[in-house]
Amino acid sequence: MDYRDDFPILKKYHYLDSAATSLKPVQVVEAEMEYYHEYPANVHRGVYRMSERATEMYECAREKVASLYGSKPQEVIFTRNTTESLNLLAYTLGKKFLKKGDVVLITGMEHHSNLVPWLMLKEQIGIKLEYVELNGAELDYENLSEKIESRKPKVVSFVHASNVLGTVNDAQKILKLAKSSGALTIMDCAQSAPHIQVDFSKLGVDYMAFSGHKLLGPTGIGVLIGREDRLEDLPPFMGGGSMIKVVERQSFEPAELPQKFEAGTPNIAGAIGLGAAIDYLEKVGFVEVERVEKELLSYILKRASELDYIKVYSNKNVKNAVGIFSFNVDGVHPHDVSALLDESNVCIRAGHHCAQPLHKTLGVEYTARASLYFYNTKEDIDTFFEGLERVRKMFSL
Amino acid sequence: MDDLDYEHFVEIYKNPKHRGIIKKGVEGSASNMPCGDRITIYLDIDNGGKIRNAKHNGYGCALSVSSADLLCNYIIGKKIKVVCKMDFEDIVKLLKFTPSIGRAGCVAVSIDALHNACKKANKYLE
Repeated sequence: MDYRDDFPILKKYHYLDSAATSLKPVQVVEAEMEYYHEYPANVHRGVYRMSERATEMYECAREKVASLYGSKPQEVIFTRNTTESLNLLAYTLGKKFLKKGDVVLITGMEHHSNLVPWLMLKEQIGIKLEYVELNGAELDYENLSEKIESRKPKVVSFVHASNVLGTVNDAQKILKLAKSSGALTIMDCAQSAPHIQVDFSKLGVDYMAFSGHKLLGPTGIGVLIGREDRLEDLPPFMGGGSMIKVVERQSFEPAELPQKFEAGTPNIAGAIGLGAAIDYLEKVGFVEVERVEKELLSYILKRASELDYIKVYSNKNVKNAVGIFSFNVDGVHPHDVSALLDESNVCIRAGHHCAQPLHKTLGVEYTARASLYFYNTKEDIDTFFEGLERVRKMFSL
Repeated sequence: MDDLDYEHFVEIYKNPKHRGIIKKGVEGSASNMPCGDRITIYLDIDNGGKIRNAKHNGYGCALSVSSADLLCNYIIGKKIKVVCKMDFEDIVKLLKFTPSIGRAGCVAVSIDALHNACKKANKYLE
């Protein structure tokens, strides 16, 4: 299907960086603009019609998130992004449930947003941070079992789909093991929620986090979904307006969920835009999203296998991966690869992709990464490989 | 950056004149983490404070390696006191190319490495 009318930027660019941020269809931009033009009031405050419309649209967006991801509206907290959602959890769990010596178990393929907050907590209160090791581009599930049994973690927090390897981890297996040992469970769904159906209640995870801007939504809006009882157990994260029921000079009572965790004026336009993004994504459907991505990923891998100057780091098992292709061109810095591809209007990412420890495990400083979404085409891939051919010629490979 | 500029920097990258290390030299390193460039500049300075030789080593993109190579080429034969006052704009003049905001770090890493070497060359700066 040709999505260029809904994503006009595709008429100019071959955008292969959706893992960094997805493109936004005109419908999302128009929804945000409509808020700013037609009903730009604050939410949960005024009783005049414009304010009530803003509140209704904001809460409608929350319901859409809840519906698509299998949760209740009061379990959906709007944040800025996945990073803020995970920081909220690390901070509040650190305040109330974790103490010095407690083990938090993450994996060796984490994004910094599910690593640095725990390192910060390690500095603040002395938790121990342990890792499930990798087996190639996959998680080492034997090591997972062994770590859970021997380290007895209080929290198991893992990435659902890796932004470098593309690997989709077996969430059910991990959660079953984690929960059987009594650990709280957290899933970083930044790279899975846009690409595959993730059902919060069916999975039985305690908390999950993702970003609106990676699933066609605006930047500055993210989501934390948490079991109602688990969210109620947590202390507030930020304090101020909206998140209170009563404030006295020397005390306060926090608001009910979800407002308890939404202090201050939220990103109203962002949430409304996210609502429009979910409408769009539901129309496309996850079946189609997966079909297109797997087809294109297979095609990239096939073309790459014909070149002797490319090293591939991402998962080659298409059935077990989202559309991510991480690679290096022998002897060429990924930054040069990216800059040269840019001259053909091909957009890829180069660097450590906020996963420095993972790159160290892979034995490489930095990589280049092309990432797919349902709006990409075979033509994008062909142009990508034409660009790589230019790199090869210029560097005399 | 257009093809012409890039080809020029790639040529220097492929055949740098001053790549290597100076074992008993003064050295300074800098990195540009977002881009993945790590450059070390080595200086061999004589008793009169003149730079006898300069080399660079490390890992970087064509622009960062070119910047380092052109910098080393320029500073050989010059006084360390003068060289340590060089700044980003001086490297831009050597490159004959003004990097975009996204590539400025690739260029700056060489001058940062030089400044870090200068911090260890105190006796020549008095």
